[in-house]
Amino acid sequence: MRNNNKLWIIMITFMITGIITSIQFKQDKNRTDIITMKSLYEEQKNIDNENLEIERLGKTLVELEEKLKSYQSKEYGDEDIVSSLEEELEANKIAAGFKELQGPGISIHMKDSEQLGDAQDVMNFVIHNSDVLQIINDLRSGDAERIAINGSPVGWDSEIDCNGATIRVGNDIFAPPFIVEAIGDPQKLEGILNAPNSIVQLMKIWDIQIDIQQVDNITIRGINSTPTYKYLKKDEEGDKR
Amino acid sequence: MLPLIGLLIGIVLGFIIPYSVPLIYSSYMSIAVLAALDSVFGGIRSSLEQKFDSNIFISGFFGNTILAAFLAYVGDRLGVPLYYAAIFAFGTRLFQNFAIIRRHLIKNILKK
Repeated sequence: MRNNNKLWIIMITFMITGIITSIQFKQDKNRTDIITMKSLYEEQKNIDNENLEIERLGKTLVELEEKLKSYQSKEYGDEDIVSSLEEELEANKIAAGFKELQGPGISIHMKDSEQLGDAQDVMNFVIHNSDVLQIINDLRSGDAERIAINGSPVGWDSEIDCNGATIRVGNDIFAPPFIVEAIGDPQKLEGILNAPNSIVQLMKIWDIQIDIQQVDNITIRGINSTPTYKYLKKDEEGDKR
Repeated sequence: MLPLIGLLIGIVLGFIIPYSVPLIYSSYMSIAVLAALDSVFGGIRSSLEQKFDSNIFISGFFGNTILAAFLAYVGDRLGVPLYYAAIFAFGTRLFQNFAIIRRHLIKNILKK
């Protein structure tokens, strides 16, 4: 009897072994690595970010639906249409950089080094277009809302090109000293520019004179050239996606 | 014979049951499976040696399985990959036990 009992118990343990083994077998075999707490945490953060994005898009959807409703309602007259279109035009002009805007920010004054290096490394002591480009990039990563170089606004399609001893920004050609202005959170922008290993720190090593100042009010004029497109075509089927 | 039938029933049951371990615990589960397999092989070996003690077998089976999964979890929290220890210990013993079982089986076959 006792022996029989033992046999049953052993059979049950074997059964349990079989069950957990086959359950493991059923698992998705794409992930055979051990999941650590760290990777789990990172994934969780990604999911949270995606959820925030979804929330934001949902809000936009609600806004647009309300707009559509107001367009479709009976008491919506011509004047309303004109005024709402004007509002939209204004907003789009601001977004595209065609309007003169003001705000707090920082201004960066840059001058070539006054040291005369040897002939072969004199290139290291002058400001290059790539330096300015990297500074612009740093400013953008610090959420700068508007950027201007020597008063010329940097748009979404402005190129910054090397032109011998001068640099070309869009259609304007500038020689040093350069003054880069940016509207945004002054503390944040200055912090990003002065971060260790940043381009500003690197330029300071080469004795290029850089002076960063926080400014209470910067005015940046609007972009005054309208983009013309030669190659862009509209999608024939329209964007019904 | 009966244990083997139990194992088969278990495998079939496991596939039928529409439950799968959450991905988070999957790694702990695999360690638990390894511990269970180790116990099973140990049981087979001791039964071939006529030294089988069901108490040791059962306590070892559950104890090892739970301890292995728990250690893997604790190691995860501490940032020390303790599951390696479990994998080495059980893996080594699995092969050792299998070697001994093989010798016993060969001996039995040659005796006939």
